[in-house]
Amino acid sequence: MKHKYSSIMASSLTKVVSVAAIATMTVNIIIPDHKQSETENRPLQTFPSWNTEHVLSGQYTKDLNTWFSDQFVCRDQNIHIKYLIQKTFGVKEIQDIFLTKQGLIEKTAKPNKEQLERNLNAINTFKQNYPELNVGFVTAPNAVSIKKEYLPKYAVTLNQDKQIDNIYSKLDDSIVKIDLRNTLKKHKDEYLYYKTDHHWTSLASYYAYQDIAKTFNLETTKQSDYTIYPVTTNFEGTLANKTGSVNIKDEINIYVPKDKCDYVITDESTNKKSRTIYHSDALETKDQYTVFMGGNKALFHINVDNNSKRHLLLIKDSYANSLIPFLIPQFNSITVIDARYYFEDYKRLIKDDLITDVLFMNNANTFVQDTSLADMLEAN
Amino acid sequence: MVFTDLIFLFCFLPISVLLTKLIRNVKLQNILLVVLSLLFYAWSNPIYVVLLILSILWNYFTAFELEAQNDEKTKKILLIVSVVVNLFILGFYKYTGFLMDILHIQSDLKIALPVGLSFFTFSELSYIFDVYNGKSKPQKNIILFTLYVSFFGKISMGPIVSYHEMEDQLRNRTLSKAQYASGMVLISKGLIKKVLLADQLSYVYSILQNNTSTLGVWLLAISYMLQIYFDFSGYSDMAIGLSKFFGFDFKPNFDHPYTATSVQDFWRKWHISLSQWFRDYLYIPLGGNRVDKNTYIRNIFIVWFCTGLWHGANWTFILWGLYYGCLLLLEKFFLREKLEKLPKPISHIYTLLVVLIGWVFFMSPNITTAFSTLGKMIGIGTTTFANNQAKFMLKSYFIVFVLAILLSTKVYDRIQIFVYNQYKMKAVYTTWTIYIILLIVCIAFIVGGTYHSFLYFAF
Repeated sequence: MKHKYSSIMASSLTKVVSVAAIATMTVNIIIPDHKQSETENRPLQTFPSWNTEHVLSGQYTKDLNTWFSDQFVCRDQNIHIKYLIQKTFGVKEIQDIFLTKQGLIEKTAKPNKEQLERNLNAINTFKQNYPELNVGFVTAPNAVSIKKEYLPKYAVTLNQDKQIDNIYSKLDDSIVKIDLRNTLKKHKDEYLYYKTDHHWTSLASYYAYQDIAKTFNLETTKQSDYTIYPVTTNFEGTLANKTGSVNIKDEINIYVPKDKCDYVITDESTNKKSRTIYHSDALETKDQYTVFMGGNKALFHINVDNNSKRHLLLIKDSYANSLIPFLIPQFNSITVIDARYYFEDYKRLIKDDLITDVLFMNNANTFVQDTSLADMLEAN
Repeated sequence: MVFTDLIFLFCFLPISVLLTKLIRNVKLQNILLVVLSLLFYAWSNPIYVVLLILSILWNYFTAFELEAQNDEKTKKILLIVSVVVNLFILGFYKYTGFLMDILHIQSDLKIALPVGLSFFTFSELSYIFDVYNGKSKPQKNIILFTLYVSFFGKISMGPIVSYHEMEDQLRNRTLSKAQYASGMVLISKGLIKKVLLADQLSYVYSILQNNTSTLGVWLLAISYMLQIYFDFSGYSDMAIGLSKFFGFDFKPNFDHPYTATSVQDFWRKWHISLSQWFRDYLYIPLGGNRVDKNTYIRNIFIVWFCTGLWHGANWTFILWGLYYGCLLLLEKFFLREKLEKLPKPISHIYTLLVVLIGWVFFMSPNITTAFSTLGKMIGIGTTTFANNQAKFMLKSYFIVFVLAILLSTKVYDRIQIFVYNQYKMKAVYTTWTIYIILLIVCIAFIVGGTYHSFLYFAF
């Protein structure tokens, strides 16, 4: 037996949904295709052009499906709705990211064990090949380790401390091992990691620098040695993109030494020279962390106007980008390479740039999964 | 294409509905629906349309032969040949790998199962049987026959509508507003069940796969039990709902199976169209219950062996089928009276438990895993009662579990009727708003599911 009111409900629902569906369809088809998504960091599927082979293999219809969902109206807003609903219903983990009171915290990465072993061996061999160089090694712990106690109750993730212990234990004692964990843990309640991004803040880099300075024979500094400029207060980083988080925003501060230090930085891929490592135009884009160094590039040269006799080769990932400002005044030159993008001969760099110090600087989550370091170090 | 694809919901379906509305002539509508259905079928794997058409042609022509044949013996041989051909196609695509496994034949041959093959083969078989039994005349119009087999509302996941039930609708259908509206409600319900419940529960299930605590394994089994119901019944609701848009009326495929108070009751409420098919075209032809006890037991095992095998090419499915065969025999010969005497909640719990155990067989990749999972449920082989992962998932998805359990009962329907009676138009507005919000959330979840954000630009 059909209920009178249920029919009224059904017919009015039908009208609205039919109209909405047809309107959505029309808008989706009419609006020109977007080529790429800033929040997803990937190219979007545009309307596939006819290709008989693809049509017969089913690839064409697959592309059509992807085209329709990639170009779906208000695509980015949908992910926010999903986030809000999941959060309301008590979900505490989205896409391997924990939702915590201290912001979004990425799970510990699953190590690529074989490759990790290779990378560590390659670093040991590197030190053997260059016994005269002062080689240092830093693995920056991630928020998941430093802010462990803020993880949701019962949260399950791999033990990053164990991973880091294991990394340090496998490195030769002739390498200066710099462990930042004690220092950072002392300041665990401070703003060490962006709430919406997988990177650490300038404050964490500042603390990290003090540790590095002590073990690497550099000058330690005080916070009062710097003028701190907040360059943005509306940063929503990679973790915000992945989860679709709403209403969590970060501040990016830059630390400028009061003792002015002039330098020239050269991006060797474009040959562009600049007197600052900061890219203020990055603040207008989605990934505001690229305000440091303009993002990851294969090779930079930083030539500093000072009397230091030391020349640093920094082999690093993006965590180092916010650390570099603290290192600059201490060296006469810094050669910065990112093994993931650098495919040339680093041995020539060591010779040509008169390298005296080498620092490996990566964050733990990236380092345990890195697939490029050994290849770079072992290349002839 | 599946019903939850955005391109289906916001392109294929609206365009199909609009075109049908434009063309009022039923004959032209049928041609249109056949074209759309073949397009729908070709969407995931275009090559298999050829298989579908060959299969349709085979059955289309065999039916005439069956009809024309007067000699009972030849007729029977013809029937067997036509059934065997259908089963051979099904068997080739579905069971070759399994068979080679059993016979220990090593091969790299990978045969992809065509979408909906098990469903449309069973539809065609029902046609052949209906013609053989004289229940239906052979369909002379090939468009109508193709429409019966391939209609996109039911080809991919059923319901398996037997030919005699759909025969009249192929020629005479009326599109009423009320029918359209009830279709819309069904589609909405189905979408909500599938996206907001089944997909979330299936995530829980995937996370708990390797959990070794008692609580974790119970949650694993329960999330599977709820997931498969909301997934399948949601999809069926959508199928039946959208079929109404084109004037087809199919019977419900699920009727709150988890409220059943006996296994027999459960199978009257679970995947009804399949149970009916097996009853009409296998159980009754074997003699039904009008045979002696031994034949009856044999028949039950045949039917449930086939039911199990139909669900997939794996011993676990066969065991799952035979398990139900045993339970039904047990109920028939020993338990029925006792169950009837028991208080309802007790027989309800009994049914839920045996069904849950059934799902453990069904969900496991092999029989060893199934038994080890069952062992863990009673504490054998577990590391602890509840580990963090289990607690974390229970805490995170507690509301989803509670909602899923409530919605698998008749509570929703009762509340709905109650509030309509009590609050009248106010209840209409509220229900309407809830539906709209849930539908928007569904779309957000579907879009969100296609969202892949990379830390670094992905080329």
